[in-house]
Amino acid sequence: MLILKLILRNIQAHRRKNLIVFSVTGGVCFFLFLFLSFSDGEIENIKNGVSSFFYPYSDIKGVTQNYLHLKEQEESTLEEIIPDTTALKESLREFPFTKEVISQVGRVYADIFTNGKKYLDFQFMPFDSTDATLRSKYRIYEGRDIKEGEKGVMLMHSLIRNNLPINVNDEVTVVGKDFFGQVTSMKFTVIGFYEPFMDNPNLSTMALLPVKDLAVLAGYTGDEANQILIRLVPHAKSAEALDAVRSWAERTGTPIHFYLSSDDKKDDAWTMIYGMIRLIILVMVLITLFITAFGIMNVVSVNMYERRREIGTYFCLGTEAPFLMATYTGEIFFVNFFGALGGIGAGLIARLIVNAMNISSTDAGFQIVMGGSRFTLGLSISTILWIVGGICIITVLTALTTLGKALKVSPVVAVKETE
Amino acid sequence: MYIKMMLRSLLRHQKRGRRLFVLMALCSAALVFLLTFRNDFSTQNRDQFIGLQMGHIQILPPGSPLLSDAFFEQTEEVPLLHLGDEMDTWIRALPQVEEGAPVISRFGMTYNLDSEQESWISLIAVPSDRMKRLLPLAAITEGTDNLAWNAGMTDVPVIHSRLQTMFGEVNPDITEFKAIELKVKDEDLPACMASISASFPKIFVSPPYDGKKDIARFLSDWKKALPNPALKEQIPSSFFDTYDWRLDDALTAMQENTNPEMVSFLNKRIFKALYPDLIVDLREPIIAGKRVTLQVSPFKTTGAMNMPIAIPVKYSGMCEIIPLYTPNSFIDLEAFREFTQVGADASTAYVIRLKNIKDTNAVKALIEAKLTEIGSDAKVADYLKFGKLYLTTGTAFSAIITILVVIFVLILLMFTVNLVLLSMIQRRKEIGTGLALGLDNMQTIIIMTGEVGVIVAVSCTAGCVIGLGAVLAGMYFGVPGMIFFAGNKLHMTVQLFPFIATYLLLIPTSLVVAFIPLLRLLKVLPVDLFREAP
Repeated sequence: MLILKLILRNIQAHRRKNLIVFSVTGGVCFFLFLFLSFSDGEIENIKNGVSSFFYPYSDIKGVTQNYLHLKEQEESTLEEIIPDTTALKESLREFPFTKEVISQVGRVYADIFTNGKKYLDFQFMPFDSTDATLRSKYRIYEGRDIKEGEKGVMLMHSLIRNNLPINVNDEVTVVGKDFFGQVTSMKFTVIGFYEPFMDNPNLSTMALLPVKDLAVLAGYTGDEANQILIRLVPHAKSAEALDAVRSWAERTGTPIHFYLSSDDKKDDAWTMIYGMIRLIILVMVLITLFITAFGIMNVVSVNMYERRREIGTYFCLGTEAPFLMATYTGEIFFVNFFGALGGIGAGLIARLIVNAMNISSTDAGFQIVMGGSRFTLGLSISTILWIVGGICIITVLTALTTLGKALKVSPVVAVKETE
Repeated sequence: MYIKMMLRSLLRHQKRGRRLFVLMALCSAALVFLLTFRNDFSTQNRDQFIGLQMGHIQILPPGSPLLSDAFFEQTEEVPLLHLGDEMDTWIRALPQVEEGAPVISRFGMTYNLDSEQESWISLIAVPSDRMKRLLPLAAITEGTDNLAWNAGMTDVPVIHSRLQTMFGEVNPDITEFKAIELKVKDEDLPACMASISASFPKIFVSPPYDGKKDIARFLSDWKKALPNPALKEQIPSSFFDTYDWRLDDALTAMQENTNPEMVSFLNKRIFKALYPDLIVDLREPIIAGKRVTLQVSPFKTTGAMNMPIAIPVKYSGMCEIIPLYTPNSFIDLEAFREFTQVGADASTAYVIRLKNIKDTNAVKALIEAKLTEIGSDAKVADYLKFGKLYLTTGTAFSAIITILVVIFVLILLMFTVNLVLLSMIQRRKEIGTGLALGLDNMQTIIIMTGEVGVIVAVSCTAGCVIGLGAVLAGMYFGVPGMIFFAGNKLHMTVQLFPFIATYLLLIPTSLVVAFIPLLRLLKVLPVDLFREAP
């Protein structure tokens, strides 16, 4: 307690100098917070945008017994088919913790033929009409949305509407190969164009098809799928829900293996790419923190020279050097710690302002850099931990290595009239 | 006198000066590194797409997808350009032009000789004799750069894109079996190893293979045997008692193989055929020397379903790519025209590489004038237009680094001001004595500013040396984690600008921020300085 009291008294006594150090630390942490927040925003955009379409969110996944084993061995899982998904989904929806149950089929890559022209390399995604989560990720730009149970219809990206001569109600023939290498072709009517709230160039050639149609296009029967995704109601415990569906599967002899989606070992490719960019930014942040902390310790050491009489007085009163070292380290630690918190606080306010400005663009380059169509400053615990942890560790290390000499003061200094 | 007094003061207060020196040196080293990194990132990011696929200028037919701002392109029936030999000769004769050539860009699909789909491929058909000069960054990483084709050849040479993503190489290891390639789980492993080793005693020469601890030895024995082209002769006759198409296919593939690099893989494939329940499906590697069938869409749409054009190709080599974007493979233009029947002078674009990027606008204007003169409706676009996507990434990265540089400089200046202010307080008696002995106030200010100047100049030089070391390390080893560049590394270059910029940023600004607080001394009397500090 004594040490804490001394630290607080010293901070108060030298408040002007400490305010300078606080401001510098705060300013640097503010900028570093914005950097990492930018990176968080990219990952947030990716997760809410392109990844949420290609890898829809779920709490629990249902697959065939062999699916995970094949996946682990990087073998094709396309032949791992769950039959009778309609009945299965109905049964799973009866659980009180279930919010949504949707079936999922892999993406199909194919060409489209319409109005006498053929456009190459489109990707077709399954759309389960009961999937309210996916619906919440886009708005209808023109035309209408896919209705429950509807077949033979297609939703295309708004960029297609703006760049290709394809309109609502146009008939489109999808031509390609199914998952088994056989030629596949189906006719669809374009009923509308969707615009993702968080757009990305990778979504521009993606069209949404009713899941049963896509299953047929992929070479399955309409009621087959690769995965069943279960989303839970808020506050439901996923572990308990998993136990319940597993017991149900065992009791009813349903040959489906349920597991927690969080157990999927790999992040999707986009998250990994932006994770790598975050790593680069993080390294830069740590270098900056190091140089800042070194600079701060420089100033502190010089300031210590001014406080020689104070240090001498401590020695006169019988204080040991380690105690003083702890006191002065504690002082600079507190100032830097609160400076870092102040910087982060200012960063949080800046984040609120920037996000409220809703800066967005349809430019592909902008979307690649931002991870989506909006400039988002994100927030993660790791950002705060890196900044606060970084500044604390570097402060303590530099203090312990630089303060020693400053404390080598003779007690006589305390009673000298002048230096 | 000034220099003498500066040096004397510096020696007397060397402890305080040393701290500023170290901080300044660290900052200037960081600045040299960051500015070099920033320049290299922007330049190489730009040069990469110019030198790998797009050139500086392209002449495009009206309606070309490259002229639109949309991210996607590729209709089956694309507009084609017919520039003719005369225009080609004229462009190549321009003194600013390094190389120019008509090219055809097309996506396709490759199938291996067992008719299994291998991969999607982005092709650029380019005259084989001009490729090296036109797209010099498409460097060969494996095999040869031989793209030349003549009508008598069975297979058309293709330089395939290097199989690399931002997460590493994607080719499976063909020289050995990995434990993960065995389907069995831990408890079944001994039985699996026993079964395979019992049938091939000449391969598995160090039994017993009883448990998990023996797996490494088991796989090692197996690896040694895989390069043997005569391995099939060791297959026990019991495997041939009943006909198995998989084994038949695997043996035939080995028999017909002429590529020594494929022997290990084909032996792996034979084992897969022998033990389909124990070994996972094996993905055929994409390597130099491999023969495949390339399928591309025809250039004329006749209905929803067209027969694709099939081209027998052989990968002569692998070339560098940008891991973050579409990897491109290359084929000879004449061969591609021949197979696709697009016409002898047809192309999707005419790509021009310049000797100096600064000539872009001048050459673009010359070409536009020439096109008008010959009555062509072709459009001319430069790298700023079709490389917008790539340039945005570079701009964003540059902005981040610029902000960091500004932070570093601000930190440094703040600490310099702090140090000067403290020096004024701590050295008040020394300053007062100087004034009392006849130095005027401005002389004192000049001496003290000069001291800062000397420290800054020397520490900047030391920092530049440290920064140069870091840059050299970045040059030889490459900065890792750079997923925007070939090999996922950015190889830095030594440039003069970052050093000059560091000096220009740090020395004048440090002198100014040191000078301003010292101006207080102008109105100070010696007696003020001898008073006890407050």
